Amino acid sequence: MTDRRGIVRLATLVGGSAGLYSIALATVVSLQSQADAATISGRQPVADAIGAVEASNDRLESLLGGASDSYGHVAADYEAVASAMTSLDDSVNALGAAVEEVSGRAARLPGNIALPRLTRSAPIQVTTRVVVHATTGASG
Amino acid sequence: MRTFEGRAMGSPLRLSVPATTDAEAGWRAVLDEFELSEEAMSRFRETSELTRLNRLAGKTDSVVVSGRLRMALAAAERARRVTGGRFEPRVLTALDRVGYRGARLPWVAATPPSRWSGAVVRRTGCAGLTIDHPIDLGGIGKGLAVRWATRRLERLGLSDFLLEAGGDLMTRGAAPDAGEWRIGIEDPFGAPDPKAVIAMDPAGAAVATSSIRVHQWRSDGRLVHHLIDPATGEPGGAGLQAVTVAGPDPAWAEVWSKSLFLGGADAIGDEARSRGLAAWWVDDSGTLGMTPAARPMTAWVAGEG
Repeated sequence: MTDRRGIVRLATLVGGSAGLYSIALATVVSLQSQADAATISGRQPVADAIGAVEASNDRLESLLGGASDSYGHVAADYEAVASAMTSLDDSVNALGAAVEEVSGRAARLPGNIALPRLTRSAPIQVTTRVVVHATTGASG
Repeated sequence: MRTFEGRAMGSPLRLSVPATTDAEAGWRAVLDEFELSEEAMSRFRETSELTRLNRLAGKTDSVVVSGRLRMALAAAERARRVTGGRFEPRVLTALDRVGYRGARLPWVAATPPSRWSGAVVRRTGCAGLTIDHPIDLGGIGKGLAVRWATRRLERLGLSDFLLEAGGDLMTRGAAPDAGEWRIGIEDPFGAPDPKAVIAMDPAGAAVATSSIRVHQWRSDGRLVHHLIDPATGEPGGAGLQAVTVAGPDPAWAEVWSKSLFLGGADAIGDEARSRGLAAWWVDDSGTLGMTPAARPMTAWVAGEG
């Protein structure tokens, strides 16, 4: 009889301990959860700021990529213009040489050319008298 | 060619028609029209309506005028607005001051140009008019007389004619030799040959010339003429001797020739070209200039043969 009563007490004691343990555990979990929520809430602005910085970095990177492309195009165009300028410079040099040659030949031309004598065989009408029906001018 | 000759508005008046045209009635109509126009618009005639109106300038008395003078005043007002004030009929006191006098007027102080703002004529009642300053309708008046006489000739059935009133001319149809009427532009320095010859449009064309060759005299020791610049109240047209304008209407040809003349030698080319006018001008050196619109009408130019 005494043994059975001891077993019951032991069982009651174990059950009570388990109950107390579960209550304590639940309380601890609840407190932990509240603490985690507060931490997350406190860190949110920082996370948002980090996200914004990341987005800005992405945009800046995109712009830099575009600028790099443009620079590449301008550099290519400059190369083309430089090439054309070189060609134009050659043309101007050639033109200068041609002008010098023409000037030299012009300088060797005679100052006077003797023209053959002409004989006029027909009368030439120098002026034609104009015929008008009236004249407009100062009135009075 | 038959020619009828007379004198009106201080200028020779001439009507020329092909020899086969019966133009007696037309010539009588021209004489009648010029007499009526002179009676309405002359500032030289003591009895004209304009003289009567000018004698009441600055007073509150209103005058009822004929349709001719009313139309002439409206045309002068419009010309003043269109030319930006370069054409100004209120220069009579300035003309009087430099010695180009017409009918006797009560003494009035020379009007400063700054006071020529506003309308030339004020209407009072249903038919009356008053004016603040005496008016000269000389050039535009003669152009209007040519316009009205031309209409009467057309109503009489004349299709080919040349009507001349001093420097203002109007032609219609063909010349006696069946070609275009040819009008010479007088050399303002008095040379016998014209500076250029204009071939007139058979559909009808008018020519007017503003020149200082005739009306030029000495006043207070300086050479003056009758073309008064409203901006200064003094003779204008620096550097120019004569300006000729051709167009469809003689009154407007007269308005533009005077307006361009007053612009002077420096401005005439640009202004005439910008307005699309057919204009010829002779400057103080005797050089002839013309606009692109004038070139196709020019049949002959002195020196070009």
